[in-house]
Amino acid sequence: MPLTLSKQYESAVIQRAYGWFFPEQVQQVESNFYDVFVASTFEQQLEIFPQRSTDDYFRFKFLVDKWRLERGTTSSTTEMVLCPAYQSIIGMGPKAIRFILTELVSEGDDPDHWFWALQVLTGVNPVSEEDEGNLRRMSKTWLEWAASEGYAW
Amino acid sequence: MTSPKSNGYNCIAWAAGDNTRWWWPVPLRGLNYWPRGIPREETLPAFIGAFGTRGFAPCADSSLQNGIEKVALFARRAGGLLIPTHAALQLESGQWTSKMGPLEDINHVTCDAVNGPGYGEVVQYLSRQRP
Repeated sequence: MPLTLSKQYESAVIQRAYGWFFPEQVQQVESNFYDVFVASTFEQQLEIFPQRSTDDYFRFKFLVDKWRLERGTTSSTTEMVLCPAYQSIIGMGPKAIRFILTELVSEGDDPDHWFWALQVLTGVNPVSEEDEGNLRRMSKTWLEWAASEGYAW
Repeated sequence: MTSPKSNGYNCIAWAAGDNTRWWWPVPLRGLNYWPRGIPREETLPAFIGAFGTRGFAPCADSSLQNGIEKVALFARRAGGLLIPTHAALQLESGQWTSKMGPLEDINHVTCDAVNGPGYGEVVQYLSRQRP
């Protein structure tokens, strides 16, 4: 179930994401920018940022944060992957594969639930039945598979 | 709060005594653990069956009994269906422990303290001899 966020918390998420790529601009942003942003629909928020080459990764990171907020405390993988932000990540297409692999590496011993997206985007499943549910082993398997397929991240 | 957050296991796994895997009956393979032979479907009988592989069987209530370990299964009602959402495990003290999805484990005094729009309500209690 989508999580209802406080305006203050969502503003903090957006400010952090925006600051990754435009740190010098954060201070110059109008004070009501975040109020306008968080009042927008999810689709409007995705369209607000200008279309530049860095925006794919920024868009991905924004969606990652949004996904983690949307999924809340659910234990249901089904609910988790049906979150609008997760679906939007899948909707980014093959370019998201490299971003997801980067995220898996950064997550280290606590990988997140990227494997549905990876299966959908790559069309393969390199995980053995014995490793199902063991996210550390699944992450290792996927990263080894990606390296063998020539993916760079 | 009784543990740091972890993506590695969920409430179903935690209640079943497994903190190494994420349990969920996703039909798509290569994702989650689900006991072999139990239907991969989000239904109450499937979840009861999954816990059955760990020695749990339906019981009447949440009362604390010496030597008995209990699990409470939660579900949301949707169009006449019960969709399982959560499981909590009774501790020897009588308090309950829940893994909050990908977040932390928590202890709660009453079983229904985690009732709400997210988890729904308790729909079935299970019990086994405490290991």
